Amino acid sequence: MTLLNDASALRNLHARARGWARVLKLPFRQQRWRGNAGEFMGGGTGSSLDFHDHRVYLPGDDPRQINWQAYARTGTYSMKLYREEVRPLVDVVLDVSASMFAFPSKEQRALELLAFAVESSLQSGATLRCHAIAGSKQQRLEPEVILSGKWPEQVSELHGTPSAPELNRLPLRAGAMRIFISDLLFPGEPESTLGCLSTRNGRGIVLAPYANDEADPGWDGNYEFIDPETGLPHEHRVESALLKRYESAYKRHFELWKAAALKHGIAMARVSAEAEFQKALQNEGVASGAVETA
Amino acid sequence: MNFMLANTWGLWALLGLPVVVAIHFLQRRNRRVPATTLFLLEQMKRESRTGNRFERLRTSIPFWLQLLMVLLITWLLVQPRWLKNDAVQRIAIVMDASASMQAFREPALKAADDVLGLLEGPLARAELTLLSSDAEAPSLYHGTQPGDLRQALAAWEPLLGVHDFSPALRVARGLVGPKGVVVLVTDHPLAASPPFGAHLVSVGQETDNVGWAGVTVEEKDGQWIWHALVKNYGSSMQERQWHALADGAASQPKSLKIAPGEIQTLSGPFPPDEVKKLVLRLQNDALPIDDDLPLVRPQPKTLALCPLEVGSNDLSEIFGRYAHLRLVKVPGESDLVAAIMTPSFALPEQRHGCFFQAKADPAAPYLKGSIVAEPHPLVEGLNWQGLLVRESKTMPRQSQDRVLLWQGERPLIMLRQMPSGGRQLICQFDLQTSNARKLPAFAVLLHRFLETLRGDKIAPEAANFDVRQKILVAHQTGSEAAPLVLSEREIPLQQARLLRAPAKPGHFTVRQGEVTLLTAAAHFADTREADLSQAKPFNELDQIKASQIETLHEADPNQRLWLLLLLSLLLGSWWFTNSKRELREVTA
Repeated sequence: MTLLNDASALRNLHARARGWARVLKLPFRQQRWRGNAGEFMGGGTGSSLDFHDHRVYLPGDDPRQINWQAYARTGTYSMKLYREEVRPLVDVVLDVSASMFAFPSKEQRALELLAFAVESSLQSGATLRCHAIAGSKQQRLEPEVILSGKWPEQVSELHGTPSAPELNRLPLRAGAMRIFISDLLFPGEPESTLGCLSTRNGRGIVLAPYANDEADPGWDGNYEFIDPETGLPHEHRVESALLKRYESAYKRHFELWKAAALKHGIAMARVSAEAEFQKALQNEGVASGAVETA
Repeated sequence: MNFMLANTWGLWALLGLPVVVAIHFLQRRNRRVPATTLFLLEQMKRESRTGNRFERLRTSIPFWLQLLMVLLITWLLVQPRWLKNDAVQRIAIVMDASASMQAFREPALKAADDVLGLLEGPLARAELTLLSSDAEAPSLYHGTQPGDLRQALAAWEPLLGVHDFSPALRVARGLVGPKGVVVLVTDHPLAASPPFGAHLVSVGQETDNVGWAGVTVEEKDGQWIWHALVKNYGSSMQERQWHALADGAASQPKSLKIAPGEIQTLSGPFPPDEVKKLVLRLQNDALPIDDDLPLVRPQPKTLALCPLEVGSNDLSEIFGRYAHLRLVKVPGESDLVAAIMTPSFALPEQRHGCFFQAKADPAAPYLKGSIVAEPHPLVEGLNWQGLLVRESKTMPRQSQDRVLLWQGERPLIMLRQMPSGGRQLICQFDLQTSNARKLPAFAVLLHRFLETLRGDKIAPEAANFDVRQKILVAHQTGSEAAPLVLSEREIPLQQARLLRAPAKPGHFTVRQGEVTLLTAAAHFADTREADLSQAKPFNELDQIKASQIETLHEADPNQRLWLLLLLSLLLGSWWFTNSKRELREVTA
């Protein structure tokens, strides 16, 4: 039984993720939020204790906000404005293509990242919305379902789609933090994918789990590579020269993604599947702004 | 060809080539692994696709090193040899001359041919010798041409019985020297290795055989009757037809069923008097030599005896009972005389005779003392202890007397060889008062004496013999006497005492001048040779070849170098394999 098919294991994963979320957080503080009242500073005026501005009283304003000290000095009604505190919006998009679960370590790391994103969002009081996507197929996942560990049943039909995830089909909310958990191992330009994460004032974050079997496979000889998406075998012979070329191609692939992410202001962190989770996430996540320490 | 492989089995090591290739292919056989980055590999499709497998192998240094190792190992295992410049192949083939080899003549010829096949090519000089295991037979071939030796094999005729191979093998070893090859071609494996370093090639196969195993002929009521033994040497019930051939006519074939190991006796009378010769013939089988049983009607020489007795006929009565002995009344017509030695009797000088004392005093006491027989063919094995003889006067001993029997100090029986040729048996007792006539020993003594005289008598006779049986034929001697002729072969008189029946079954005669002294038949009745159940194949040709190679060839002088190279290749292969693995681990 894999981790994906074990609901109790997934619940346990969330229990651990709550601990991780106390140490590392999603970068909510780096952005002005809009939305319902919450704990994070919003872009407009509100009822927080943080002073924001003064302005002339206008009819209709709440008389409780009149700055009486200023009136005593100037004889003019002026208003004292405070920052608003809002609940951030978080859209978590999980790439459920088969490549995400091709290796046990990578599968675990992908699920850990999902659990972390969900738990971190919930701890921050964010309004969470989750999506699973594979190619052109998508599935909305309720946070309760994710927490119950039964979400894999709902996405089982999405597997087997080899094409790149079409994020533009997702109803991503304006101004939301958009966390895209994907290994980014699909052909095509990064622009089309990353563009969707940054449109409409979105704050894009890409968490890309990877396994050593991909980064440094150590292939030598004849292989029958099984495409996890289709299950079809592909015969290849890998010599050392070809392996080097593969490794440089792999590296170049993610350099392109990072460059594109930088261009779109998206924080992108590759998370190793082999290292301990917090260390692996902290490694690139803090530097890139994908996560921040509590 | 001056190059050869001492161990062709080593060529099996070449199978290591496909094994190495297979191992490398197996190592390089597709391993099934999941790959999430196939789209990256697809970009390098042209270089990574399967393509030519050998092209892929070409890049593997350990692969080529291992192939080279296999070739080197093969080279070392096959033990290449080069013919020495001064190599001379000396091969002596000793063909078993036992009669049983007749059943395996063709395989034996082929075996000899196989031995000749061991000869190297024209570069090696050869000295070939072909001998029969019959040490008395001349060499069949000695030369350098295998073809001539093959032709000489036609003269090989195995007819002997069981005999010792050692003399022939000794001769063969002496001819080829210590480094030469001596091959004994026989039909059964030996209990011990052949002497003188000879190699054994047995061509026999267990074979059923039914044959004549012996014959006796007896005269009964004036009619000669043969009793022939037939034996089944095989391990299964056999059925054979047999018939008799006489005077060009054949009897009706009769069927004979004989169980394994059983001996049956067939009997029959000889044909009428005018037909002297007879052949009993069995249906042919693997061994033909024992399928014919030639016989002649026996015709022993008849002795003429003249009893010189007055008033009694004791002598006539005693000697009249012996077969083939005729009593005559005129001494001049007799071959020997028998007489009672009265005081006035003088022994004839030139005649054979048998003489007894005159009647003793019936009241005289019996002689005392132990009876002792001298070692002599006439008295050998006879029991004289029951002989009772009364004291009487004795004839004085002469220098030419040979005492055959003593009682105490008194000679009882003497053999006197007269200077003029007469041979006389003198009994120092009388026939009336002694009990000699009741003793079997006395009857046997007289029979032996008569047979001695019969053998010496020059007269025609007919008899049956085994093949190669020694024959004694009384013949004329002296410088004027003609040589003996055995069938068509002339035998010098000096060799007459070595005369033997022919080695092949058949009828034969021995003549001297115009006189036919012996009409006879020789038959084969050697049951050891006729038993083919112990014949088994055995072959030491491989050993012979190996020893020849060792003797005539020199080994590869660079063998140690190849061994060193092999070790280097082994280390190289190990290094290349491990360095690759370590590099991978470090990278990981």
